[in-house]
Amino acid sequence: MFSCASDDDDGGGNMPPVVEPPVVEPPVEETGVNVDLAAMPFDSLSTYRFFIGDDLAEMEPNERMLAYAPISTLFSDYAHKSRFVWMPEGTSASQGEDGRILNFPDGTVIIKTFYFDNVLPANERRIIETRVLYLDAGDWKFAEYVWNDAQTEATLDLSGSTTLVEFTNEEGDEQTVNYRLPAEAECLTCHKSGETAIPIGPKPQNLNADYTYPDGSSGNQLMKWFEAGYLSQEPDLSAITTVVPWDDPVHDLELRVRSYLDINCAHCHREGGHCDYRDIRLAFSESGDAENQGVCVNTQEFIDGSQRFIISPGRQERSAMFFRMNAIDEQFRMPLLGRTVQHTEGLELISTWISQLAGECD
Amino acid sequence: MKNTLLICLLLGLGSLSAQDDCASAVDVFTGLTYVDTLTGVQVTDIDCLGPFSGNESGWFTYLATADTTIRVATGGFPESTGSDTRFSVYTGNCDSLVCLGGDDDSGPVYTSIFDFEVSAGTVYYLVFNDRWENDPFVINIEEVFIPPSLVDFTTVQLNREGTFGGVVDMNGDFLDDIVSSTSDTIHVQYQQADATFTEAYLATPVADHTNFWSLTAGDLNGDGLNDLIYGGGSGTTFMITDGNEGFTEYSPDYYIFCQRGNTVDLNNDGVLDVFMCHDVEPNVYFINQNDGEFSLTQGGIGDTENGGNYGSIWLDYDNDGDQDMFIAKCRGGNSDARINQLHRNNGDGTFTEVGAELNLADTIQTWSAAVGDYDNDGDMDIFVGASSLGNDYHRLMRNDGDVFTDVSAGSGLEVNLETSRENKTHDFNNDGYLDILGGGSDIWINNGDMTFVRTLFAGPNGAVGDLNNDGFLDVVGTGGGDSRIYLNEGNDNNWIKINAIGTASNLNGIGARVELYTTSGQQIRDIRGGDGFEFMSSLNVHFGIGENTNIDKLVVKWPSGIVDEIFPANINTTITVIEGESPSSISGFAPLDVAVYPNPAANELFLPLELVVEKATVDVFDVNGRLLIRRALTSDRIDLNNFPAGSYQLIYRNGAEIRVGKFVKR
Repeated sequence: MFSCASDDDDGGGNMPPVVEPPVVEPPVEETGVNVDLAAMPFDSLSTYRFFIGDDLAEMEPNERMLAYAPISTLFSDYAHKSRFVWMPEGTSASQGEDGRILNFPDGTVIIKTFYFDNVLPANERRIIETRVLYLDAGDWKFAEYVWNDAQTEATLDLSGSTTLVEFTNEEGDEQTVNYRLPAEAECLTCHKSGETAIPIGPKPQNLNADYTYPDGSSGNQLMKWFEAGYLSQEPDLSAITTVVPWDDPVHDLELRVRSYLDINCAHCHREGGHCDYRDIRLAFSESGDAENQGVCVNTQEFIDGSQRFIISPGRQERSAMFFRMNAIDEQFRMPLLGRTVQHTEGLELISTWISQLAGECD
Repeated sequence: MKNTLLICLLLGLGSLSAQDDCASAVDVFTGLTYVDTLTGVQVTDIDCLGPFSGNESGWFTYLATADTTIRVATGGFPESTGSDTRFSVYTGNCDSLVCLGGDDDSGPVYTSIFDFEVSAGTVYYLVFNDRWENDPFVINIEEVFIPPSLVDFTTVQLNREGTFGGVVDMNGDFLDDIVSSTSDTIHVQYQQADATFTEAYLATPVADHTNFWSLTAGDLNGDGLNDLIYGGGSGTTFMITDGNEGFTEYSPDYYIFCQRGNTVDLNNDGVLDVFMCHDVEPNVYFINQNDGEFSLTQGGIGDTENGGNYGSIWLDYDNDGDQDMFIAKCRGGNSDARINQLHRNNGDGTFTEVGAELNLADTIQTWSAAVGDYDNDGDMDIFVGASSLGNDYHRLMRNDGDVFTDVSAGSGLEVNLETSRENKTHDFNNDGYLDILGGGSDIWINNGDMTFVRTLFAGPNGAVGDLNNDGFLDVVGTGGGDSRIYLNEGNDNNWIKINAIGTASNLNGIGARVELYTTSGQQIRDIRGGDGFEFMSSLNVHFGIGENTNIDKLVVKWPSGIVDEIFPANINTTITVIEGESPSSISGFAPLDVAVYPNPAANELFLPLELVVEKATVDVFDVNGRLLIRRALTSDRIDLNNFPAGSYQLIYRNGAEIRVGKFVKR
């Protein structure tokens, strides 16, 4: 009360000489993406300001956050994904081989969010995790953010966990997934060459196709990267050996299979991968060769005597690749990480392909 | 030829009802038989090769006219169509068929070949099915001479619930049982004294992690029953017995990509600890606090940042009485994580990695190594089995004291181009030399001079134990689909088995060195809680002794430092060795007495009431050292109703407190 009266006195009464108050600049509110490599990883996803607006779960991208999607995508227990890339102002990536990740500048951040739609009981969206991969002084680093139940924030957690997701799938059936959120070492198992951490998706071969952006516009992704300043040179699109969407029957069956194998298997099954001591090479650039695909290549592990070859032409049930993609138990299944349920559509693709391969193994 | 024509004629007339079931089975004879598509009834439980999803079958009978060996084949001869066949062979009659065997893929491509002994006058049923396809094929039957196999197995289908895990005693009777598990059930097939099995489905708490990658066993809480350690892809769960048929769960909230696990007393405090290989990080171990809790440590025994740890195996390579460890390692990408390691126990709870100085730091991509004294010279040699031949080949490394020498060249093992993740060693033919199960899915018989010869095992590698208590080691093999029991048919060689009971040391005697002396020389074993890659094999000690008919001496060097010398009177039997209890025990260890009463006793026996405390256990042995009961002591009374009259020994155990008593039942 007292202070109010005092305020009144100050505001009214005799007019004192007008003194221009000093101009106090309101603190400039930082609005751009907050990438401070020395302070990262942040404890909370919101600290990065990747997304704007009051509702983090809307994932409305901040300035210069560029959405992208690989042409052929990894199966992750039927989770949906949203992907963004961000690079510091004035920096850009350069393009190397079609099947190699772009040469990214320091400070690049790749943000990938995994969510399910039609999650029971309310048939709502549930965002599970956001994986942040950033390049710090030449080293890619992992940060894993786990979303809270209220879907208002995601918190740094690199220790690994599982969460049960019950949802209505695209066939309208209820499905349950015991979804695995990776520990840091699990990130590295797939995301590496030798023992050096790397991203997997952003390669020219995976980006050279049209994409519909959140703002409704559409265009070739590599061109968009160039126009956004994220590619240093205009890409020669026609010169890029490009994968096809594995789920689009318009394309050649073997190309679809090779595209599927590339994104789902080749992070381990290529030179420098976690399992390059196995005989197959499934990167798109290598899988044109039947032996690299595993056709008539002997298995190195006894399964049950029925699968002596990785692929036995015309005989899916005689093929270890089919057996492992069909398996659920982790000591048998492939891919080992990122999948706990069968990928019915992927299995169908491989099965169809094997069944139409001709020849007989010695 | 006449017979062949007859079959062709029948088919030509469309008479497909013949061969459609057992009653209408068509006679076949030596020579060729042409078969059109299969149209017969299929009975799913009659495939001797395991479960399958076929629909049609074809039934044939072969009447043996002489005692000989015949080959039934659909491939490997000019008239073969090369079709993908599969067939079973039975004896008996249509009301009661008995599996003899069969084959799927032993012939060229996917054709079948099965050789078997026949007796004159016996009818053999050959039943083909369309497990893979239903195309015309040709059966060729001929008499063959098969050189005698070095070791033969009879195959029995195994019914199991969940993931097969091991062959290990689960009820304290020292007979190996068969263990499989799901997240909430342990399926045990308890071996009975008459070599049959009784089944139990033991409910457990819902395990955070299941034994997809490995199963390990050992008595962690000293209640006389083995506990189980599940190795899962993102962590481990311990299922600890409550002394009966119940379990409590211990699942640390800690990411471990488990591979091989081991039970081992790391700090030599008389209770078992747990070691777990981590695929992608430094290894993890759990020190048993002996109160239901375990303290977890990551690092110190295999610290490669990105792991590569697949097959840990504990051994006393330098014969200094403590347990060292070899790790079979694997990793793509030209990573150092694939370089094998040997961790020497410094005797003070620390370990030093000495793989390079011992010549063991090779780049073989391996998931397990088979460790044993292959040349019976008193130290542990190592067979490193390649899981892939991309970087290096299988290696046999001879222990020469301060270095291991690569003796692969000329051993017979170096020519093997097959690979496997399981490698373990046992004496399968009881000739007194350790053989190798691995390097593919075959058994490599040790010739006794560090050379080996392959003998076809024709089954998936698995867990090893004695499942009919006949002194010949059996295998339970499991692959991606079914599991089978492979019962060793045995031979004329002699054997002895030892059930070890630790008193000052851990109850299982894990870490003990067992030495056996016969006229042929010395053999040694280390009692191990977990070998190979995935499965848990028997904790009982087995020695083949060839043609020896007596054993000069048996020495057990326990982890406690106690040494027992035993002079077994008999062979081809199992003896129980209790730590510190042999008359010539070199120990300085004198267990206290326990005054049991009344003595002699009638139908019940009592212990002093003050000994009845939580965690106390009691074992009762007969005069032959056979363990009769082992149980948690929940009251001061022991029921003797089922005991025959005679003398007995009793061991009371409460942590490090060991008491021994004797009584007579009238």
